[in-house]
Amino acid sequence: MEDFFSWFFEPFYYTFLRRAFVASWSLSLSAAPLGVILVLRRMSLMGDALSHSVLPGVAIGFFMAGLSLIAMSLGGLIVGLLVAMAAGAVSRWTSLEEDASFAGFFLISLSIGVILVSVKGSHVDLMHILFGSVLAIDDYTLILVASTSTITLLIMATIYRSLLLECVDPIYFKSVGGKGHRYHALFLICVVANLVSAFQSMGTLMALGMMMLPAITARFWAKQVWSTILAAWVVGMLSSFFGLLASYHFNYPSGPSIILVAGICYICSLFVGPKGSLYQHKKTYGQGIS
Amino acid sequence: MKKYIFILLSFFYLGSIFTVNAYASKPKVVATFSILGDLVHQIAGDAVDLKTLVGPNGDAHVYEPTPQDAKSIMHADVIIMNGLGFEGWLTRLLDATKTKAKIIKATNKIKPLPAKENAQVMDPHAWHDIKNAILYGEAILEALINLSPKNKEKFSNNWAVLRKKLENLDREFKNKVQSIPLDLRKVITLHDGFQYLGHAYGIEFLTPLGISTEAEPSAKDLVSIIKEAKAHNIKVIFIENISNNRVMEQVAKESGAKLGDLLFSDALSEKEEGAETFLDMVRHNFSIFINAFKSSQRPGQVIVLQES
Repeated sequence: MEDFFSWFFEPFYYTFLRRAFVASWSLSLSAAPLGVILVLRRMSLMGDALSHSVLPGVAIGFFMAGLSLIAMSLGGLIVGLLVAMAAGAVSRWTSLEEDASFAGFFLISLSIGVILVSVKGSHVDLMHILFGSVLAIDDYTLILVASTSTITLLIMATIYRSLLLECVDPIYFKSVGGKGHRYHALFLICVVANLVSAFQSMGTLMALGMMMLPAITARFWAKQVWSTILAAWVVGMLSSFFGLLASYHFNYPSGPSIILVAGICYICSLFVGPKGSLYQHKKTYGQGIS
Repeated sequence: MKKYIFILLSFFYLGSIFTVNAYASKPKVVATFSILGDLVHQIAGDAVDLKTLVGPNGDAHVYEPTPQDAKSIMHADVIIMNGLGFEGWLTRLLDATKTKAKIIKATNKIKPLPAKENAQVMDPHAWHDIKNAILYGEAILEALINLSPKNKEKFSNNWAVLRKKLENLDREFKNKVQSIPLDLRKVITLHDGFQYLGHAYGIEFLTPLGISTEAEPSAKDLVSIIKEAKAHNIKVIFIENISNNRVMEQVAKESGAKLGDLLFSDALSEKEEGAETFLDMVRHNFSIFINAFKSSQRPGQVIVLQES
């Protein structure tokens, strides 16, 4: 019994693991609801695209201020916002879908970035300097993640109803006088800010993983949006805890361990989750899986 | 619930006692990558408890720490790093672990060269100039003596032996390079890792324009470099980041270039790959350069060097 408890809590005797734990919990708090709504809007791969499209901003930040994390992430944030806004605007005012226009703008941005880096020339791999690691959370990054998360949650709580209505039935929302694009823009700002701050503090894998995996796992556990978000929180927090434990006891890198645990949750839910999983399909439709 | 909290707290307490005891013996030294690790090992032998973070054939530019690494940093007495931005990940790791270790920058006394492409940043690969490597050794020796004064004599003797070997190698390579005509001592490279070597020994490293550093160069890129090399009478090309054998074969087939041996630049090799200590690594690289220059004296022959 005693061994059992020490296995669970001994790792957190170390400061760096406590910090890693707090940072990944606060990231999963704000990333989970954003992920759920991204899934709802069929924009699950947006984060992935965004992680590439911040390159020109990072490069410009680097050229202007040298190896300054703040300048580089500010650059990344601005370019990320521009890409997200442009994609959102195009899908709103033309007939192109949002994910398609996103692909267009992210490729433009990435190519500008690669050109900037090779013309101005730098062997320093900017993205690797920008991207942090779960075990290397200092005071500055901890404050960054925690405040992004707090602000995101406040904004999401404020716009939650309108955002969902706009998501589900934009035409109805417009007809009752809702300013749908405002809420959507605000939502995109939250997504970009969360991603960039998480890239910088914990790396791309953690940023994208903590946003998407809990959200898609939760889809097998809940039907309502609020309950999906709740389930996603639980998945995110459990994965942070058990991922860090696994990383400590088996000496694996921590970020990938956390995401792998979330991935395992996803695979298991895929089979046995109570809503829409393979098991449920079989129960509902008999032998063959249609 | 109260009982569990009590058990939990008592384990934190017990844990802290055990950790202190378990680590109380030898002074603990952390080296950030294999080259520094080897220097520490050569000087200190087994008088210190050495942990090298990025091991043989590892890339210190991209490194993902494990909890064990963070633990070693936290408990270390001295951390030896290269500096000049080589270990971009280290600063935050130091902050996160709140380590009380003394941080020694091995490049503290060297004269850094600005990176070729961007003068705002210094080139960290200073160890390829043996004069610098000797300054690395001096800095490490000083740190080790401060850490464990009773071993002063042992450390100094070990260092004297290594230093002698390095100086001999330095002299030998300088003489050999000087016997080669100046216009043959040119290398085209896509990698800036050997700048210090070029600077110290009078070898010209040229970087062609128009090739992106972000992606792997394509076979076509390589062939056009080789054509350019032939036009400018440059005989040795050094390429890194090519793990794809097919690309290399293409280059050899289309251009008639000869593939040279592997160079080791940012890390030592595993055992029995020819560069498991720093001394072996330098000797290995030096002989590859000399052989390439010598065998490139036949007209039209281009040799492509690869990095491990």
